[in-house]
Amino acid sequence: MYFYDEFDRALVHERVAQFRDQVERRLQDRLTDEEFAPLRLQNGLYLQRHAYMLRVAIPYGTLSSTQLRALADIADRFDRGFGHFTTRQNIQFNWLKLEQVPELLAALAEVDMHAIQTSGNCIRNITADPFAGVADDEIADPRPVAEWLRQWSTFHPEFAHLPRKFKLAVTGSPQDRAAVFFHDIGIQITGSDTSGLLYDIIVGGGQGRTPVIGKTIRSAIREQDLLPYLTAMLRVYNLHGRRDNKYKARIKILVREIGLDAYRDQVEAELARLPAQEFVGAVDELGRIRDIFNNHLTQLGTVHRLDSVATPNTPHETTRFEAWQAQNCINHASDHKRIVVVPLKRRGHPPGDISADEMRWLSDIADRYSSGELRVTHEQNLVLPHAAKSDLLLLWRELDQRGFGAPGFQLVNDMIACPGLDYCNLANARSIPLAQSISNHFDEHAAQDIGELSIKISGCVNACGHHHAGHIGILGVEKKGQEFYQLTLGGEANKSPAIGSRLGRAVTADEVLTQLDTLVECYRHNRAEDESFIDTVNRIGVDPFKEALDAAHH
Amino acid sequence: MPLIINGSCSEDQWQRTRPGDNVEVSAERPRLYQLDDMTELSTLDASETFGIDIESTVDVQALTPWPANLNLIAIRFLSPTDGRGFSLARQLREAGFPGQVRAVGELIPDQYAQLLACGFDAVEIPSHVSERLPYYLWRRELERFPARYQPALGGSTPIFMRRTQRRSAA
Repeated sequence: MYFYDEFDRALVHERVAQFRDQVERRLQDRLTDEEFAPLRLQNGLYLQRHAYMLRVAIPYGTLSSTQLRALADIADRFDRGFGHFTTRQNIQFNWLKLEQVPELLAALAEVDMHAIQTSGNCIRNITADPFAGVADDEIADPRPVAEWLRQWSTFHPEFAHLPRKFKLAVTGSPQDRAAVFFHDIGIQITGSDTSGLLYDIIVGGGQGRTPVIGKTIRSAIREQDLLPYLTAMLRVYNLHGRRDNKYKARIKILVREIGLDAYRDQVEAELARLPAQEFVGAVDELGRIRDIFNNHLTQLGTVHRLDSVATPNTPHETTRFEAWQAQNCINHASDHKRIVVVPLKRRGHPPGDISADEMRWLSDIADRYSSGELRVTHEQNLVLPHAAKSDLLLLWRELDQRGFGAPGFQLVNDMIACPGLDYCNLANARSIPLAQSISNHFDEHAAQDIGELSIKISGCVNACGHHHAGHIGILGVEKKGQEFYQLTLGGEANKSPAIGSRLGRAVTADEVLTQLDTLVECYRHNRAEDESFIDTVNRIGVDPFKEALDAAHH
Repeated sequence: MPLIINGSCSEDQWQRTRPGDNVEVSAERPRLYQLDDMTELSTLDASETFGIDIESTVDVQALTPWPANLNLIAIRFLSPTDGRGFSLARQLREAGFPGQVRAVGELIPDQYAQLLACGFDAVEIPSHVSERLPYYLWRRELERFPARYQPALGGSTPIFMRRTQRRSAA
């Protein structure tokens, strides 16, 4: 993990004081609502249907047990005892009153957390591979560079008023788990040379109304060239991104309108004019950050384990434990450990939701089994990144006792859903009740039989539920005041990024379940041995699925 | 309109002039022209100090090389969140423009630190904004965030440099 020093801490505390003052001026009407809106948004505060919502940053999805406990206390003090993990590795609190928010931010600052740039037209919180630093297929840990970029982008004076929001993601593995092709800028560590690590820069990806798979603008860029290059990229976007239409203001539209080559030419012309001496010394800072992460990982290597000799008590326990291990435990860089995914997708609960009591309980679990560290994934799950292999049975029993022991990772119920019409001003349809009825529809046994299948639900075209990238995507639409859902098939966020194709007409929530059954049945019928849902779709195409839906409809 | 320099209200030495204006211009005060009117400037006395006022959509690279007697570039923000002005000011300073770079628009004190860090040294705001948000609020922003992460104009040392300096001192 990264640990704050006094500079980081001073900045976060100063931000709390500044926001307290901004809220006071708003309440006294010295700031107009129009002036206040960008200020509160840059601090993660949204005005939702019923109350304010605050989005708290969890940079690159890394969280300590102490921080999770503090989030639990905040959920109790300010929200209704719940927190909601988002698709960008952050956490949201609902039901807030404006005048409480400075106190909430002060409580966050006590544990080195903040809500800086989790919203607004600026560089947003930077996401990364949730298995960073422990994945067994990693070229290098992407978190040091993500932290370096977090610092570079925090209160960047030139880029605080961009045409639109700007999202960065970093991955250090060939197997992308950070959806770098679906971000405004994606950064992939691809190797190293004598100068340090090398990075590929991908630009112009995104979801929303116009889903686009990003394109590589530069390959194998050196570490010392990274900040100047990103500065030039952002400057060209800041100057030339469209500001006349918010739906055409993302960088993907600029790149599409002028073309990747013309955009690259402008970036390189800007780069040539940047004063290179400004960035001298910035690479030393990356070294400092990297040392902090590495020292922490080295320390963890020697942490005492429980080393229990527990064995399953019954054949039934053996079966369930082994199924969980096969599905939810991922290979760790160390042979003695596993990365354990704890899906926040329990039946009848909104995806990503967790109660304050559960947060405290998981903090204790993290202390005992994962060296006090957790991760948040963009699929709205939590991860225990440092579980000893020998502790897995004890760990699983504890998780299972509280309903978190199902082997659900990447299975049909491991859905992503946006808050939808229940909370959001923009939504056309509800997402959460649909997610709940899907999770009630497929039981643990059915889910295991279907295997890996990602369903992603967005309540409107803004696509916060990433429906374009779902193996099955579900988009909420409104027709004559009624909620309907449009299904898509064949999207993929990571392995080989793809945008799903539309399947027929929009249907009601009840019909969604019938359609899902038909699609799953079509997959079962066509799958080759051990072939996953998405591999079958990619092999046979969308048409057999469309035909199955048509046949079922008539 | 009120002008803020160094966190204080300052008297504007410059006078805005447009062709066809019937307003009497003072010979002592330098003139601020709009870029769109620059064709009229062919008659400009090469020794006269002057300034230009540009919209945030202008390509400032096209202004180089600027005449030695150009002493002010005023950048008009079309709205408080029109972020182009910040990049334009950076570009001007990076290209070595030595004169005053002035931000003009409905800007608020909360943006002051950003403006200074991008190379602006004067902010011209409408009276209705300064009445609600008086000068002391601008001055107060000078003391906020004494350190920042990024290299910036206005004399502040970025945090990464301070960390390096501290390590070498230790």
